This record gives sequence, structure tokens and C-alpha cells, in this order.
Amino acid sequence: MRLQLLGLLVVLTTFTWATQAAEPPPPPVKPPVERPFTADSAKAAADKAEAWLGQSYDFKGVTFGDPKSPNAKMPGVIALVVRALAECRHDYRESNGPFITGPVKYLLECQQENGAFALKEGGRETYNTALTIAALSALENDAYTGKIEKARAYLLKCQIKDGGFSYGYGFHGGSDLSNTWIALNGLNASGYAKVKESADVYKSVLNFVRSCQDNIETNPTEDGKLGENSGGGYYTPTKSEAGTLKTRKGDTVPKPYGSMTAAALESFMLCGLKADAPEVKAALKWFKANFSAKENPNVGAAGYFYYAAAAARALKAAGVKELEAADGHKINWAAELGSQLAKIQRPDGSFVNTEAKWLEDDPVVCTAYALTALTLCRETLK
Amino acid sequence: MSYRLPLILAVMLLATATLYAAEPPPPVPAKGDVKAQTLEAIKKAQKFLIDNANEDGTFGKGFAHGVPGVVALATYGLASGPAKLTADKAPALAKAAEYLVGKQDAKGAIWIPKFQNANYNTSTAVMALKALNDPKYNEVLDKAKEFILNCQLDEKAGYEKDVHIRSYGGFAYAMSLQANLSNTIFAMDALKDLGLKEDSPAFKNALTFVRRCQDNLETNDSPEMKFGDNAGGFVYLPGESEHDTFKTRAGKEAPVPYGNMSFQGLRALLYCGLGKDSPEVKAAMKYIRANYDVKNQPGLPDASKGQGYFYYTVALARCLSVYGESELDLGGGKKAAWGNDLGGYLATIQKADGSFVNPVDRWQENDPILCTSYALIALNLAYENIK
Repeated sequence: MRLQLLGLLVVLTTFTWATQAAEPPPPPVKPPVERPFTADSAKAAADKAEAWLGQSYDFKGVTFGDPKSPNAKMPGVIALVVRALAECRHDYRESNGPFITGPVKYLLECQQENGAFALKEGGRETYNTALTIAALSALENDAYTGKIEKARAYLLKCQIKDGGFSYGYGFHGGSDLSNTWIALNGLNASGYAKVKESADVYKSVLNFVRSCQDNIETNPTEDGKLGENSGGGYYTPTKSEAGTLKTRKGDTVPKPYGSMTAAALESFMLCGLKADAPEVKAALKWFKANFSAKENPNVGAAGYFYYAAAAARALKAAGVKELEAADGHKINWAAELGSQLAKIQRPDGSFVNTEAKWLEDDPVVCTAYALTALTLCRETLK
Repeated sequence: MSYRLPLILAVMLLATATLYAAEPPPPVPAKGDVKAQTLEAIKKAQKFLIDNANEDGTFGKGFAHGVPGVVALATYGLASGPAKLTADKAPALAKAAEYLVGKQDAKGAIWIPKFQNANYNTSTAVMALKALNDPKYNEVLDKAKEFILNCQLDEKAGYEKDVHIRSYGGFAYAMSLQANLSNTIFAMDALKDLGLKEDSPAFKNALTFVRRCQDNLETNDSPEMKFGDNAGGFVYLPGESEHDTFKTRAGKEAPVPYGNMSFQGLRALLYCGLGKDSPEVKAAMKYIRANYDVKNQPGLPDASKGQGYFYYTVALARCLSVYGESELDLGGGKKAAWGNDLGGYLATIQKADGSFVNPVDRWQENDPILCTSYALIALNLAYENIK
């Protein structure tokens, strides 16, 4: 009797377990997986950033953010915002609202006799003019062609003998890669590449940009033969914001860093070089070894947002989605950069740097850069 | 000893039976009894929502269960229609109302900042609280009205009628950059409930925006809406559709008009006082008749099929209720009793527990609370229009 009972129990238990086996087994307990950063993630962060810029706009005073900020009336800063809004996924144009038409009207009023877009008291004419040209060009309104061309004529006067651009016409402190890169952005945005005479200009600019890159094969200067051949960029042929480094051979050379390597990379593309050009490949080599989503490589927090926007522009222009690091692992730069930006974004949608250098204590500046970077991250991740 | 075996057997059989427990099959609708079916569907949907009501006034356990807009839509659905519940009979409604009231901020918005969409949330909350019909909410509603009006992009926000053609007169997500027709109609629904009429400045300005969203050359002055096929349907905002562009008969790229915005746009025109014989309304009805379908939203590319279906049922039902014809003349001798069609169809896709859900998750339609609320609102209106 007991044996039969046992047998019955076994049958029933097996029957029960067997039917349970027909159901899918419960999933194994896994550690929580971080949600991957996708195009939609970038969209969400970018939308919050543009909403902050929009609601920070005062249509009466024509300012973004704090009207008492020293940057509030600077054409270049306003242009940075307008350009970021025009390039974001909503393609803002004048027909969208006063946050475009107001700044545009103001920017046009900032055009000086000599064609520069600048404040009356002067200063940073190259930045202000080039960024304004880029912003106005992005709005695709033929009514501004004449003024853009007049500004472009001024901008070209800011180029000096070594091919680079300085702070403004008549500036005595020499040229640098940052002004040069921004100037190229302005020139290209206005369609300068289609103008016949531009070929010589691009040739001379290219020569300057090459002289700011640690790439022995293509750097035309004597000092340019002394570096470690890392492919990275620096501020001028002899100066770097990241300081210097002593090479294995014992020479002291400028230390390449993130923002200027990005500036060099995009500048090469804007001058017409292709992705397989040695200069471009060298810059990408530097990024493979040094890319960071969290700081301006070899500098730290200073200029992080400038770097984020510049790196996003440059890598997108070079058609790169992944950087393969030395150990073989692939860096999805858009996912990493976008993810970091989303992490540090403030609850109100804005961004600001802990380091005040280069205007990055100003949330208007940082949010405009971040919006540009996030827009490009989204386009790359789609 | 002898009783243990039957007990063990009983437990094992019960366990086995439970493993095999399946959903009972959905009831087979009796032919010709669509009114009863629709009422049955309404009551089952109500039961689902009430069964999933939480102590704090929200519904369900989904990620977005705390979103005031979702709470509001459930409340509005439950408090409307042929079997409507009242706060005193259904404690879940009273709790939901308290939840909404508790989310109002100093500017009058009823929302949770983390979830954004202040206008949608405030507008649906207004509709829900109005449906509960209790004067104790008047102060909350007055402040909400002020907030909603501030979401309109007009002169007081620096917008000019003939300059800011993409935006002027429309309502934005919050006090921000981009107006669209969906935010606009939700705001108009709320403002209408709060007493605004067609002659109010808000509605007059909204009409400018709504016209600019219609694929109708005769009445649309937006330069970005010049290239459509003149089908009479509506897009999301001038020059833009949520379903991107299509190639017109003339070979141009134009934003795709689609069901959701077409029904919302027509209803907005009617709220603004345009008559049935106005060119805009005639053009809209031309689109609606030509594309009549209660099962699938017209205008969607294949890849987007199913997106926003439950939003569509509400847009269709609310629009045709306001238009005021229970039977549409589709031409060629065909007629459509839309209440019968919609009520009958929704009853067949309702799950056994009374819920509805969209297998396509865009716009949160993987949330059964949201979809059931939408479906309930649609069923309530379908019921009233069953012939």
C-alpha cells in the first residue's frame, strides 16, 4: 500500500513538475544592467536643454539667461545659442518665434562699418564675426546674404601671414588654432568653399593647422619634427593650454589636448581633406588613445563644454561612430559623451562648468555647447 | 493516516489545475446588440480602473502611474458617459481629485516637473476636475486656467501673427518653444470647459494656428504648407508631421496629414465657431470621409502602424460627437454609423480583465491604465452615438 502511495505521489509530482517545465523557467537573477544610451536618450536631454534656453529668453531685453551677465549682449554668445537652436532636431528658424527673430535683429545691428559683427567697444572680432556668420547662415534666409558677405570680407582680413586667424584685424598677438577653427566654421557655413578664390585661402589655413598638430609626416615646421607623433593638436605651433611635455629624446614640446585636437580634426575636414588623409588619421589615432567623455583630455574640467561640442562636430564630420582603443575595445563616442552630458545636466535642463575658464561659468554658453553636442550624439546614434 | 493521501492528492491536483489556468475566452458579441456590448465594455473598463486604484489616488503600478495626466484621463473617463461614477459613490475618484489638486504649483500648473508636459497634464486635470462638478475645485481651476493661457504663444509672449508663422496662436508643452496641434486642442478642451468661447482672444488666436496646420491651400497661408495634396487633413504644426513626409502627386516632399491631428484639428475649428459649410470644415470632413476607419489610423506609414491608436479613438469620438452626426455619409451610398462601428470594435479588442493596451508602445500606449482610460472615453461617446 505504501509503495503504491509513494508511486502515486511520484507520478503526481513528476506530472506537476513536468507541466511546470512546459512553462518558461524563471529568469536568472542578474545584476541591474545600465540602460544603454540611445538616440532617444540624447533627444530627451537635448529637448530639456533647448527648453531651458527658450524659457531663459527675455523677448523685451533680447537676452538669454541672466541679463546682467557680461556675456548677455555679446554677439558671439548669442550667435552660439541661435546656431545651436537652428541645428537642433527642431530646426528652429525665424518663423518659430521671438527667440530667433529678436537675436537676429540684434546681431544685424551689431555689424560695424568694417563689416565685423562686434560690440562697439571692440574685442574678439574673429569669434564674434565668425559665430554670427555661422548663426545667420544656419537660418537660411537670403535677405542676409549681403551682410554675411560683408562680414566674411572682414573675417578674411583676420587671417595673418602664417595662415592662421588671430583675435581680430590688427591684433598683435599672433594667430591660434581656436580662432582659426571658429573662423573656418563661419567661412564654410556661409558657403565660402564654393567661391573660386577660396582655394588659396584654404591652402594657407591648412598649412597653419598642420603646424599645430603633433604629426611629423605633415607638420611643416622645424619644431613640428620634435614631438612624439601622437596626432594631437595644440593652441599654436609652440603653445599649449595643457603645458609642455618632455619627449623621449629630451625635447620640450607643447602637450596636445582634447579641445585643440578636435579643432584641428574638424578644421582638416572643413579645408577639404578626406577621411583617409594622414592628418585626419593621425588626429583619430590621438582620440583612440585619449578620448574622454568626462573631461577635456590632458586639461581636465576647463573648457569641457567647448571640447564636447568640438569633438562631436569633428568626429561626426570625419564619419566616425566608434573609436577602436589600443586594447581592442570599441569606444562608442556618441553614447559615452551623450550619457555623461545627460548625467551632469541640471534638473532645469541647463549646464554649467565647475571651472569658470573661457566663459564656462555661464550656463548660456555651456548649455548651447551641450545642446550642439547632444544633437550630434543623437544623429550619430540613430 | 488515511486522510492524508486525499489531502495530498487534492493539493497536487489543485496545483496542477492552477498551472493550467488560462484566461477565459472573451465573450462572443451577440449580433445586433452593439449598444449592450458597448455598455458592457464600459462597465468592464471601469471595473479594471477601479480595481487598480491606489490609496494615493493614482492608478496601476506602471512606471508613469504618478503622472497627473494619466490620473486625470482615468478620472475623466470614469466620471463621464452612460454609467458615470461620482466622487461620493466611488472613493477612488475623490482620492484621484485630491491627488491632482495636490500637484498644482505656484504658477497654476498641475504636473510633476520630472515628467514634464505641463500643459497636457494641467489641461487633462482641468477636464477631470470639471467632470466631478464640485465647486470646491473652483480656485484650483482658476489658477490652472491662468497657467494654460500662459502656454499660448501670442503677443504677450512676444509672438507676432505674421512673422512667427510656425507658432503663433498655438499652445506649447509648457511656457516654451514649440507649439503643436495636440497641445493646442488639449488646452482648448480645458479652456472650453472653463467657459471660454469662440469669441475669446485665445480661441481667435488659436484659429490662426489651427488653419496653418491644415493641408488646405485655400485657407492656409503658411509657406511650409504649400506642397501638400490638398487632402484636407491636418499635421502636427505648420510644416511638420509626427509621421514625417511623403511624396505628393506633384513629386514634392510634404508633411503627412494623419488621423489623430485631422480629428483634433476639425474639432478645434468647430470650437472656434467655424460652420459646417466653411471651407476648412468641408475640407476636413472630405479627408475624414475618404479615410474613415475605426480600426486603423489613416495616414501612417507601414512602419508606424498602430502608433497612437487609443489616442486616435478619443480624437475620432470627441470630434464626431462635437460635429454632431451619428451617421456619416461616405458617398456612393455608403453610410457609417461611427458609434456602432467604434463601440463594436473596441468591445472585441478588450481584454478579459476589462483593460486595453497597444502592442505598439509609442507615446506610452504600452500602459494599460492609459489605454483603458482612452478607450473608456471613446466608448462613452460611441455609446451616445449608437443608432
